[in-house]
Amino acid sequence: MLNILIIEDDGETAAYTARGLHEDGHRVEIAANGPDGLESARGGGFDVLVVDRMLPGLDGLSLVRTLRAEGDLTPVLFLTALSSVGDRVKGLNAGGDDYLVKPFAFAELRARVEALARRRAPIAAETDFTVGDLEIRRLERLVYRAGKPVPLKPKEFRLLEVLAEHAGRVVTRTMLLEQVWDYRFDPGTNVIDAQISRLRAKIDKDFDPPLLHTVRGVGYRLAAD
Amino acid sequence: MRPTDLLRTSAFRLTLVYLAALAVFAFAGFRYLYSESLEALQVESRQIVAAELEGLAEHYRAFGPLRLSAVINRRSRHDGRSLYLLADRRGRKAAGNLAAWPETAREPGRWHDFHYRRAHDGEPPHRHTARAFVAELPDGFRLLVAHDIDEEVALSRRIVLFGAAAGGLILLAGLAAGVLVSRDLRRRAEAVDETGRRIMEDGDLSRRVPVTGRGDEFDDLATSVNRMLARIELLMTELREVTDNIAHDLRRPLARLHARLEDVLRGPAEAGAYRDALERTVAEVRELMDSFNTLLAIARADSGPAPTLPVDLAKLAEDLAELHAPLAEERGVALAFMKEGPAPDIEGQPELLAQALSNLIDNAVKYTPEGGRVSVTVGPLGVAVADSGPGIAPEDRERVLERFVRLDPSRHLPGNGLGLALATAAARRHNARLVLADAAPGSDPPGLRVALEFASS
Repeated sequence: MLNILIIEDDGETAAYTARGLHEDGHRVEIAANGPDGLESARGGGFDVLVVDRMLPGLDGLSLVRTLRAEGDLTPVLFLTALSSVGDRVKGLNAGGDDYLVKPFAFAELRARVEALARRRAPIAAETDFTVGDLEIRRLERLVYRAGKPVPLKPKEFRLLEVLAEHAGRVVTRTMLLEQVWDYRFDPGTNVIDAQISRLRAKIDKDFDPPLLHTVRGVGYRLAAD
Repeated sequence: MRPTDLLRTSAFRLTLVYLAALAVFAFAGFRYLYSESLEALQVESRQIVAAELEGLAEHYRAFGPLRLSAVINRRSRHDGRSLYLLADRRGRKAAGNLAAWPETAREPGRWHDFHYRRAHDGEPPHRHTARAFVAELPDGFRLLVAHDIDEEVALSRRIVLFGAAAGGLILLAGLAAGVLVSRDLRRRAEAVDETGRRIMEDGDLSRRVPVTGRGDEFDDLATSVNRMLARIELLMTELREVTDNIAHDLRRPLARLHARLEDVLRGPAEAGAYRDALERTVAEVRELMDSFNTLLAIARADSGPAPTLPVDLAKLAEDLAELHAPLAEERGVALAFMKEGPAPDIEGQPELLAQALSNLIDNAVKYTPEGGRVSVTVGPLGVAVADSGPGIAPEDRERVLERFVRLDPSRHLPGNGLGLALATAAARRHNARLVLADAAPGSDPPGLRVALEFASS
């Protein structure tokens, strides 16, 4: 269970988002304007803040900047109607950790919120990942399945690495595009599906049980269940 | 232009300042010149008087008062410009051509100017001016020798008159020039002002500031203002066009959606039918949002400045080819990346270019039948995507770049008809061209080659 604070002045978006997260078993609090949001956030105890960029009273950028200046490092997901490169960079510079452009699918928000909550402790570059009998040695950039080496191309390795960083949780296609390829546009969803198929052919095809799961309509999950 | 308006112009105020400075300096110069020439004139008359006085005094000392009187009376008979008056110790006139001792010239040992009356050739007597020196002779006699300086006085008057006239004329001419120049400058400044005001009034951005063709700073200003106006006009037109187009483009799918939902509502109230309709609606809304985002991206690419970053075109193309390769492979299309020489050095928006190129590759893979080939080639001109698909007929190549134009009438392939429009906008943004051609001219099918060619800078 996560403690999530949603700072959003559009009541409908806030309620819809909160309901979804609540159904997932998280505890959700809502603040409808900047000053209230800042006060709630200062109260602490939240795992993730979901902050709208445009807020009455105090805009989202200033709010997050203030929190960061006070030493609060709670992960922040910005929600915004502004999608240009410059707007995104501004949001990240202010101390935001992720950026989601409205309108968004709820599944996308859920995946990002959960990923952010998990990322609280930064993963050191030398940490190896193990998922079931899949072993990822990050320094040597080698992958073993059931002790057998699996040769991967650099981008395939990075794809697996991102999935492993979020092991057990859903990673959406857009998250993969952003984190593996650094693209913020949609090159057609099938492109990622095909990339995953190819990766799956290498790490799952000749082994049991399958580790790379498709979450229909949302994304992918690397897990040993 | 009213006088108060004139005073408000900077040119006229400057003229006044210059004229004041000119007047001060001219007056000082004239005064100096005047006193110098006066001095020179005085020297002449004083020399004459001094020389005569010296001679007469010597005569007196040598021969006494009677002989001096005789000399003076003889000299007095000439109707010259010299005046004499010898007075005895009681102050009575002993000799000379002056009737009485002039009131203003009594003190001995110094120069005096005095007036006297004198007749010329039968004319009535005139007032004349003379310069005199009074000397005391031994035995109480006094001698006054004077020289008529009427010419000198007249000359000095003429100098003053001339100076005043010249000064006045210069100031007047300066003032007149100032008025003319101020009016001209004011008129030309008003032309700029007027254009601006009228644009503010009626919003007609096609107005321009008149350019005289004189090539001066006002023309420079007008040209620069006109350039700015042209740019604003272009941007406004584009903005209007984009807004119109987006509104128009989105109306059709929205209407379709609306019709479908109404249709479902009119039908039987069954959960299954509703669910189907909702699922289809969600999918359509998703597509609609994608279209909307792409339209926004096109609009953004077409308007205003944006951060320009160096773009590694070769790497960008290679990464995209790699991204699309698995999908191409699944569809039985061979996707190859090739490098024919160094890519051009360009600056711009890497993300926009990536999106554009991604669309080109996506199209190529989509329209190439199984067993075909797609190549992404980077060269000195830019990047080209060639395929072995059916190609596009030359007459359709222009049209296909427009928004929402899809040549495939059955529309059995996914897509919103915005891919090439976005690529075109990205090309425009980067001063590049999107060139469509047959990939393999003469073969059947000819294939399509879409090249993003950058202007050599």
